[in-house]
Amino acid sequence: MSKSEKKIVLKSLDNEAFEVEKAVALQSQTIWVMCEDKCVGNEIPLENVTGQILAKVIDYCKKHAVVDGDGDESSEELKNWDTEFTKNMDQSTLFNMILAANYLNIKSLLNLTCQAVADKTKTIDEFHTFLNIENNFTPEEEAQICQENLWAFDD
Amino acid sequence: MKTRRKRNVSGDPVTTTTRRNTRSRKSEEDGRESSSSLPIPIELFVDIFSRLPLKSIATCRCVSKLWSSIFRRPDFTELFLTKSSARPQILFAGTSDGELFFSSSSPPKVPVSNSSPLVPNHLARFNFDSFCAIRGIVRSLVCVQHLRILDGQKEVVVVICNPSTGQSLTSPKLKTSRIGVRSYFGYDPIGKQYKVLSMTQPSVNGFAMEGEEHQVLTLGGAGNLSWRMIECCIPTFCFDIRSEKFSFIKETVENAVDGTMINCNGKLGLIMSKDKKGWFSSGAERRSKRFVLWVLENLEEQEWSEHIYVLPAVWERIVRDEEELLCFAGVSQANEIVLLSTEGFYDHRPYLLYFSLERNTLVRVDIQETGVLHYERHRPYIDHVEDVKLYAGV
Repeated sequence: MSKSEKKIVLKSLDNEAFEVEKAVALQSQTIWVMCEDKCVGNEIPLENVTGQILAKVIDYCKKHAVVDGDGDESSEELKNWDTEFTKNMDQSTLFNMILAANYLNIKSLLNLTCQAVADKTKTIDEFHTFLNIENNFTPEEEAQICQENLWAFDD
Repeated sequence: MKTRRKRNVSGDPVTTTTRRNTRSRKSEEDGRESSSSLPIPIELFVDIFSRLPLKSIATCRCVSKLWSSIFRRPDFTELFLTKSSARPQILFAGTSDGELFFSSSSPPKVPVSNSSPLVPNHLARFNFDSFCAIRGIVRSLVCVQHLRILDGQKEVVVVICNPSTGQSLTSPKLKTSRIGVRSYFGYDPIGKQYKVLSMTQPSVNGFAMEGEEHQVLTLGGAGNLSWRMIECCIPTFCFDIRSEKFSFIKETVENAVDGTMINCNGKLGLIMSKDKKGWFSSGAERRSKRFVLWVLENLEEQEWSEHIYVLPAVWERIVRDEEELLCFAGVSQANEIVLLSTEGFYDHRPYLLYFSLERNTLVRVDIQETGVLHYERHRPYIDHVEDVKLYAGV
């Protein structure tokens, strides 16, 4: 782990600027490729991510950049940190985190946030409400599909 | 130690703006019906859904047409299968009066201990109008044979059930008018196909004779479900699921008919118990003294290895009841012979027994009863893989 003193500036969709160490930012494959290509200067515009979300992504990257070199003893702590990190996020933040992790191409963060959504969203109603999904089954279709999946509801 | 979130978490309404942006951008990109009602790209949905437990998938099918269609996408079913293959479940199958019940549970944590009971979840159930019997459980599917009565005519029908989706596929009519039919179920991991081998058995004076008509049903491949007749003229045989060729099994294995066929970490195993008097049994009882396990090491050479495991003294303290009957469920990845108590447990909970071949230890894991195990005939299967693909029928 070479500790580069070089810093770069990440600029969010809403023009918030974050100065971070390069090693932290390079956990994003997208940023890594941008830097490799030298197509950007010291300031990288991230047009798909808001400042609020970017701040969280950077928190995550900082935590993971520090701990990755430290060996096993902290892996448990890191896991707990990850759990705490997503625990209090509301669904909308989580979805934006997923989009950001996808866009920035940070595998571990994408993994963490997708899992968090899967863990948090337990009932159909939650999916319905949160995603504004319209139930477009005809009553007959709905009756049939519910009948087919009846076993899943009997708890 | 914790680098706490030092940046001010601004409680601003940016989030909603982003979502609208994302959504409109997405629908400009491609006007397909799917993107217009999904707030995030479909690949991400597939990723999230592939992490959901099986039950949630079933309930989510009922959410909307779009969602229902996501679960039919091959990329979703493949991803789900890949993930579930990494965490095989224990499947409990029970039959009673033409009904077929399933429940499943994650295996106990390694090292296995008796600290907390397993709590199985109900899976799909199936109704047949008459007698049905399980002929094989392989990977994610179950092969059932039942007697259908149509216009007063009895005929044997083979049905493939998927406990993970509730889908059942009834095979076309067998090419026979006999009702003495024996079916075997197998999986070809290279061709990724399931196959049923059915043999009709003429009976002479009430005794079943060797099979005479052999036919094969394939599932999971291109074409539709249909029976193909194949030739066979060997009495005790081994059937190659992939090449569909029969070959001899040399009768090197003593008392082979008394054994239970199990999966021994990918090899065919034949296991039985032996009591003090030397009687063999396909299950295990209190009076069992040792297990005899035959493993088919090499099919071409017909090389079987024999392993004898003497049961530790604690066996009689765990299997308390003379009436208790345990059946072999398989050999776990950690090299434990797994057994399920099947009868004689009415005064206590059903349980699984883990007999470690390496440490010669026995661990009892209780099962919190959810109904399925109360039925007379039930079978455990420890390599169950959840598969949510809907297979093409006839």
